[in-house]
Amino acid sequence: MFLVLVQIITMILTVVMAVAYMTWMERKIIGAIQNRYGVKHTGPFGLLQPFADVLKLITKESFSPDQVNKPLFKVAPLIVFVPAILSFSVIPFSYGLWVSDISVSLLFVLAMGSLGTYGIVFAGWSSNSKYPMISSLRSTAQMISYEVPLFLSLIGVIILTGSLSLKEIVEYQNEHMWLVFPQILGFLLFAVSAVAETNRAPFDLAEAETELVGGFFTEYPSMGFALFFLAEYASMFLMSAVAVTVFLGGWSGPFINHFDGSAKVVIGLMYFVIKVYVLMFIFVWLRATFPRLRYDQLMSFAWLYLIPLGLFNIILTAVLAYIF
Amino acid sequence: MSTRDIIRKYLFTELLQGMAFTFKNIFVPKVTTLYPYESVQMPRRARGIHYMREKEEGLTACTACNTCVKACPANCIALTKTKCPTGKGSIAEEYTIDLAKCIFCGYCSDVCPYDAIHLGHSLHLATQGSRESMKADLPFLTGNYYTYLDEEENDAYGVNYGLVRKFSDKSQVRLQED
Repeated sequence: MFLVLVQIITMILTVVMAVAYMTWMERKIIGAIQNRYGVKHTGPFGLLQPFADVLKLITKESFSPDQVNKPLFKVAPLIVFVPAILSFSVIPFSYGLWVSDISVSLLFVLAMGSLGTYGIVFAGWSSNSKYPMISSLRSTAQMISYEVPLFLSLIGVIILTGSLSLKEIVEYQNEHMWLVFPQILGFLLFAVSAVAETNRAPFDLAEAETELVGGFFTEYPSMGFALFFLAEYASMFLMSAVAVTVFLGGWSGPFINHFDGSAKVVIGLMYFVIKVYVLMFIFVWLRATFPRLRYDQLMSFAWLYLIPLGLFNIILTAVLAYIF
Repeated sequence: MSTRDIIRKYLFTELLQGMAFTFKNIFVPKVTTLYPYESVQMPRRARGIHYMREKEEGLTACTACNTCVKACPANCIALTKTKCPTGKGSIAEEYTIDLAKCIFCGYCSDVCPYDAIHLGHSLHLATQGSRESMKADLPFLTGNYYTYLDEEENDAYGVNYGLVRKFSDKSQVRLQED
């Protein structure tokens, strides 16, 4: 019991710290791409900036506007934040290093990802204000549309490994090969859908700063805002972690099987973290490169291209798996 | 449709081109000036705090003709006249520019027939004092001239102001771009 508690607290702290430093990393990378320095003033290389931001946010007054529906308004950030954190419990970070191993962990991650949408709907509706309203409508349509190709892209993996457990999927990849090679189409579909699912540029219509003043969290002050922010980055981390676990071999990597015991755990964790940060860099890189899509382009892209491709990928995988 | 077009349309090569471009930019040197820590090099035509040319040590080129006072749209120049201690004519006894009023239009410098008042590059107008401390008096303005003389020697902006002043008709001065 005590051990589980320690595991949970460690994991939450790790995720929150990773998220805090992700904001730093994002500002640095986007700065570099735009030939600027990014954060620089607070501490060496601006490394203390995340703490300054958090301090500023938690010392602000937790104000709620008059027109809002108070209970929903207060609970919405939690509904977004908790599932995003909860999904990390089933990710196998390294060989034998996870909080819980349930047999349907892949399904669990996807289910938690869908729950986050409700938080956004609640936030937009309960704010009772036009920008959050438009934003939450957009976000709902977008997330529902992109969940379909996201799920479809993973079915090929399930066909090949015959398992819904992330741990077993990684072990399969450690024995055979990384699933990105037989499932390259699935991986690309997953990547595109994951960017849309996490509301990141170029699919960030839900929180388009230039049009919707921040979208569904326009009305949120202090910690409410911070929780949405944390949830967005946590879900980026989650999508990267799932992509790494499912397609890029998780903790497996070159020479990993030559090690035993704790060395294997440490090296596996190292591989995992490196892969996750490469994907996080790509997230930021995409944001710095592409302009935002128009709303109808976004929807037609999902329904006309991604979903047929996803179905094609399933059929192809199934046929090939049957033949070989 | 050629093969090239097909590849372009279905493999989204343009997206990859864009991403390659942004990635290259990571290694391009930064263009930011770290302003409070580094001094900003203003463009050489930037108009900042004025300076007053001196013909010789202690004798300003200004003859107190009042042209600049009349030209000034912000009405920020205050000028009193006195006899020249060394020869004929007159010089300015007091010459005060209220920098809080000044709009840095450069008309005073344009109209000056004796090429006395000029606009420098410094934009550091902030002060902790009162409104009075923003008045630039004659010692301040001539003092500024000597800092700009140093600059002319160092050729910090690629223009030798002394030479420009000496050889050009003032109405036709065009600082050549490089």
